[in-house]
Amino acid sequence: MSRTEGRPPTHPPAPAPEPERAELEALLARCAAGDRSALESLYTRVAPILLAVLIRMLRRRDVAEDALQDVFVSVWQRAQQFDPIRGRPLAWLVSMARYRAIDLQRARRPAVALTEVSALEPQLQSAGPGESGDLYGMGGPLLRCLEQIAAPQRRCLVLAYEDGLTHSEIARAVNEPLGTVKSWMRRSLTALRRCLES
Amino acid sequence: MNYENPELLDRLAAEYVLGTLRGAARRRFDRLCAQSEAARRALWRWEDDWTPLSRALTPVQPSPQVWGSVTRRLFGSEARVPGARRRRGWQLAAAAAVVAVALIVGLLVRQPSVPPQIFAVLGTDRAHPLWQLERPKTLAALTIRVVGSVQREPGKDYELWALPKGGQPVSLGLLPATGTLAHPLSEAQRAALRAADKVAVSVEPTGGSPTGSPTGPIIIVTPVPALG
Repeated sequence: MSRTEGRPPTHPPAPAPEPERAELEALLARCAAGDRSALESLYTRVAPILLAVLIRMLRRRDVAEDALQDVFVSVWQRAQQFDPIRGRPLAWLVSMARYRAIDLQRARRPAVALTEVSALEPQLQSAGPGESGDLYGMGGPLLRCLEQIAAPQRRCLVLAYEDGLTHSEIARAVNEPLGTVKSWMRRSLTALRRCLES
Repeated sequence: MNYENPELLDRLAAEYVLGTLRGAARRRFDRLCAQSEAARRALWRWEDDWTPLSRALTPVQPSPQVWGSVTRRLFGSEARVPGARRRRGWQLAAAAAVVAVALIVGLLVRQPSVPPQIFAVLGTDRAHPLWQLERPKTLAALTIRVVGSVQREPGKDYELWALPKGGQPVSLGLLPATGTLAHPLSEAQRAALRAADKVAVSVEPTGGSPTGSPTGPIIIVTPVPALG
């Protein structure tokens, strides 16, 4: 995989073409100006990325596609509030999707059974950082730093970020006491920040 | 908690982004972000930092109908709301009969037999309704129609809230300045709306409350009928 020119260093090469920051910013600016075709272009570029995020967190494709609709409705409504100073446009879009999923999970929380969490295990083992060739090959500070964290602790972080599990759900998934999981995560995040800054 | 401590702030931001900060603690951090540039920066930095992990997932092509639903929700609602003009006359006539408290007025018009129903009219002045809220029977989306002249302050948005009895306000999204918006409702929003006896409008920074709770002045509070 080759890097695209001008990409910020924290964005690794990815399986699909990386939407360029400038391109996404331009599309958001056109959305803010009411250009519907820009929303369609933006959708074409980022909807598959956001849907992957949403499916992973919500575990049901139909629910994830509903959430994807919600996200793009919000993107259109809020495009004029996107401020390039706040960060990268993809991070803004991904965050919008993830926070939407977290809201939806909160409403669906009672339905999340331990068996569902357990059913996730093989998927996690095949896709967690350190276990996936793709991720190894991607580089980038986050993945480099995640690799420096011991596997059980790293798995907790990934269960939180990618799967949107709560502390208690993570504790059940990794079969460790809640207090252990919380302190692991506290320490891992401090280590991660230190590594990201180095 | 001492939010001046940069390490604590950074860890709270990290847990917010991871999603492990939930409930009251998540709302507290939301409120903190509304006030603190340092908190916002910590949040944005973690959002940026973690994005590569989202990019690492294999993208999934959405079903073809998803895009159609997005455009229908955003741009196609005019055609789906026949008879709105007739009901608007109803609502204006009814509005004139309502006594406002201070600058606050709201009214309910229930027409259960005619979908979509208008279930609230929002205005800061009883002679000048600004938005009317309609909903299709399924409660899948809340249709918000601008019926007055909405003055937009620079840097501000109007945000709609469901006020569940005895609960925290739940955002129902931003109110449009023009036209009609079919705002899709999440399960949480539907639940909040079903439990709500009032809706409110607050003035928020552009993009809506960064905290998940109203942060600006509440300019309208309007009772709404119970939703089935």
